[in-house]
Amino acid sequence: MENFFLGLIMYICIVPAAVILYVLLYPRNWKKKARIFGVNNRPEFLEEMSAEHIDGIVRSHHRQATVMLVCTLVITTALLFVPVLTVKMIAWTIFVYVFLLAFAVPYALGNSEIKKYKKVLGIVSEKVLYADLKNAGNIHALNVSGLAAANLVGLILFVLAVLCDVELLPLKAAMNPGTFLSTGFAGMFFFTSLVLAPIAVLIDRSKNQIISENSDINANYNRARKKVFGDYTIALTWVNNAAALITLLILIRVRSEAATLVILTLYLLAIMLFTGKLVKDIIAVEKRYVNGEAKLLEDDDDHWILGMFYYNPGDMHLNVPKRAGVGMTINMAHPAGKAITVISILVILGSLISLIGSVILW
Amino acid sequence: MIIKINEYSDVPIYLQIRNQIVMGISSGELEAGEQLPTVRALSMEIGINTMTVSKAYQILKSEGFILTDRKNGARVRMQIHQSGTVSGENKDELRRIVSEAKISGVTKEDFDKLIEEMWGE
Repeated sequence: MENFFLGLIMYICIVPAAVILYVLLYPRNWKKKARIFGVNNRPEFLEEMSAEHIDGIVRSHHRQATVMLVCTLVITTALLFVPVLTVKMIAWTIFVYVFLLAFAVPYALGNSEIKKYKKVLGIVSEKVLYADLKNAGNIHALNVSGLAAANLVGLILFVLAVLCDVELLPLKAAMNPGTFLSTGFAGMFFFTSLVLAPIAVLIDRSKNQIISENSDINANYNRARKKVFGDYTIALTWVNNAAALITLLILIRVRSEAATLVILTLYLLAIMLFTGKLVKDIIAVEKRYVNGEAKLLEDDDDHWILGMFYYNPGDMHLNVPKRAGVGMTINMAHPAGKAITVISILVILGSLISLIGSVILW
Repeated sequence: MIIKINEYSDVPIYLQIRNQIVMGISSGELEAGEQLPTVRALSMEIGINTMTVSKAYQILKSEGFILTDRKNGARVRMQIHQSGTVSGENKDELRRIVSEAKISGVTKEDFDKLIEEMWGE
């Protein structure tokens, strides 16, 4: 039973993520998008000869991504039925690494091909930075009190869980004394919310994107983007609270590992549903503002390595909106960005070494 | 109003900011009394050092284009002093532009027309 649910949890994480990445990274109708494989879409690309060439690049990498998606669906479904838990978890971990790498390859190739074609067309980056005087520092959409209230509820639930575990509340009927199981679960959900809060603030204070000469269009576009992210963070915080409350109630009533696994599965399902909604809303905002007469003015394609990693020593921002996918990414040229990059590489290397070790030991 | 900063330009960034704000005031894009972003907000927006923006604001303030105070930040002056003359520095700059135009074969009529257009902007 546990074996199946653990597989299901991985399935719920990976499959929707693969579909979301596929939709965001590999759109077919590139002419209506602000960017193609992380390269700014330009009027020159829409001219007949160029459009034909770019169409070819997009079609070929879209096809590769479709094959990847189908493989992902087949492999993840097959992994659900692996009987031995250790084999299953090792296989899932290897698959996650391979999936992340393989899914990014067509995108990176597409990015490099479009950049090369840009050079063929003689388009050189003007290195012009834009700022909207009317909107600088003024565009915020995060409901700070809403986020604080949601986190406060999370804190109360966490304190309740601790009080239950130290037997200061008469609600310990079905709990195993000394395990601190409810503290662990409530703490995990509360900690997740706590990590989300500063990210939400950073996104809300992030640089405004200039898509038009008209300040009102820029203001509306950036406000809409920030609101979508802000609402998503608050929704996730409430999902964390609901998960903490339900887990707490279950641990008070029955001590069942299967029940907590079901909760965890439903929790991940809820997160994926809200993430799907976030992607849908972001696409709607981009469609409304960027696909019309408005156009992206700033050409910083050269600062985006493979269209995914931002490296711009001339930019003092630590976090910038992602080119691939939704959310923010770091400027790897920023001092803090360098530290985060090194730590991330070490973490990935460490987990790879431990994975190889566990495979050898097994 | 959109400010454009050219990273490859020979003109320092603080001067580019100063020049564009002056052009904004002249064209009416920035109205009298209009609030300007704080030094921190504008530097964050462009992704440059706060000192650069601060220097641009200090020049604008000393030239009488803007007012700054701790409480309200920076604002375009309600009434900008009109001397009715072109400064010596600007005369030199204009002389350079006229000379280059003459060397490039621009006629006086075309040059006048260009000035007429710019005056109307």
